[in-house]
Amino acid sequence: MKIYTAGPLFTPYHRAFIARLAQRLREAGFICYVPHERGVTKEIEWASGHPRTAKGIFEMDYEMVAGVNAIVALLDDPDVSSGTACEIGIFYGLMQHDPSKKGIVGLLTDAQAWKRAQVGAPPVNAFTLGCVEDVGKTCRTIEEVIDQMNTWQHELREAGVLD
Amino acid sequence: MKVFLTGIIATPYAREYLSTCAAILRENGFECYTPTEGGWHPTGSDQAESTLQEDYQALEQAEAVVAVLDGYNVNDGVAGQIGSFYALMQRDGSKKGILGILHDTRVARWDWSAGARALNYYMLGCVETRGQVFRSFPEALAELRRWAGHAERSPLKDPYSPGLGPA
Repeated sequence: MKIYTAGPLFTPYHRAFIARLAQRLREAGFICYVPHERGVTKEIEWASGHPRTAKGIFEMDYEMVAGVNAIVALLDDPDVSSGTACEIGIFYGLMQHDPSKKGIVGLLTDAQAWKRAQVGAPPVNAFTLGCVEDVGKTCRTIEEVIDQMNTWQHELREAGVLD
Repeated sequence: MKVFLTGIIATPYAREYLSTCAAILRENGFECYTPTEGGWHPTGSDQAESTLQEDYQALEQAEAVVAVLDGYNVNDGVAGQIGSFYALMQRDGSKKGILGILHDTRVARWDWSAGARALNYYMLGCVETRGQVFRSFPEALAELRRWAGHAERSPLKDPYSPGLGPA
């Protein structure tokens, strides 16, 4: 089963956490598409004077989002990253007509977001959260994400979509 | 030298980053307080939730602040601590200053070509009055060592490699 890891990539500790998530998913047997792994080459191009455009970034990431069976999206920080939210929206739309796409798992480790949830407020933007929860669930840990992905992989195999 | 190290503390990986930096500061002979460790001495946990009184007392005791300035907007807690320390500096000559660390590619750009210029000017002014913003922890550590009068030594390898994180 192919999985896309969406999330903020703006600091070394965000990238480190997403790299760790991808490693755990691969160890569990999944094929994992990680935007900043492909983006490393582009970063070098940027640093050497070859600008990368918004359109170029979109096309690179869209190809990955459109080609997977599921997404795991890191929803942390004061707001869900706009790029991540956009990818969630795209995948939610693609899912409506593609039975090979199983769902979206949100990964939320942000203590401030869970404090909002405790007092009855949406932990993250309600529309984004709605997209996730309509076709998946929100998890607190990588272990929960892997459990959900295993369930979906089993269902895809039962349906004959995966070998 | 006593260093108050602050940054985003809402996620486990951001707390881990602070703990990694705190450990390196201690290896380099600094005393270090981070809000996530609950005091000046490491407890082995980064899950503490410090109080205003604990943090403010540590700011009073600290001679320098190192602040991670990531986020579209600098974290409100971090900005408040910078402001408090700036005020304390006005009547305490033993305080050296404030050093910022900015990784966030939305603000500084991937190649850091924008530097700190897109940060809030009021907060940036607090930092740059007696300090500056660096693109990585090793650069800030080198400046801290200069403030403390430590001997020159070869630059520290960044504990977070450019692409992925902890080496």
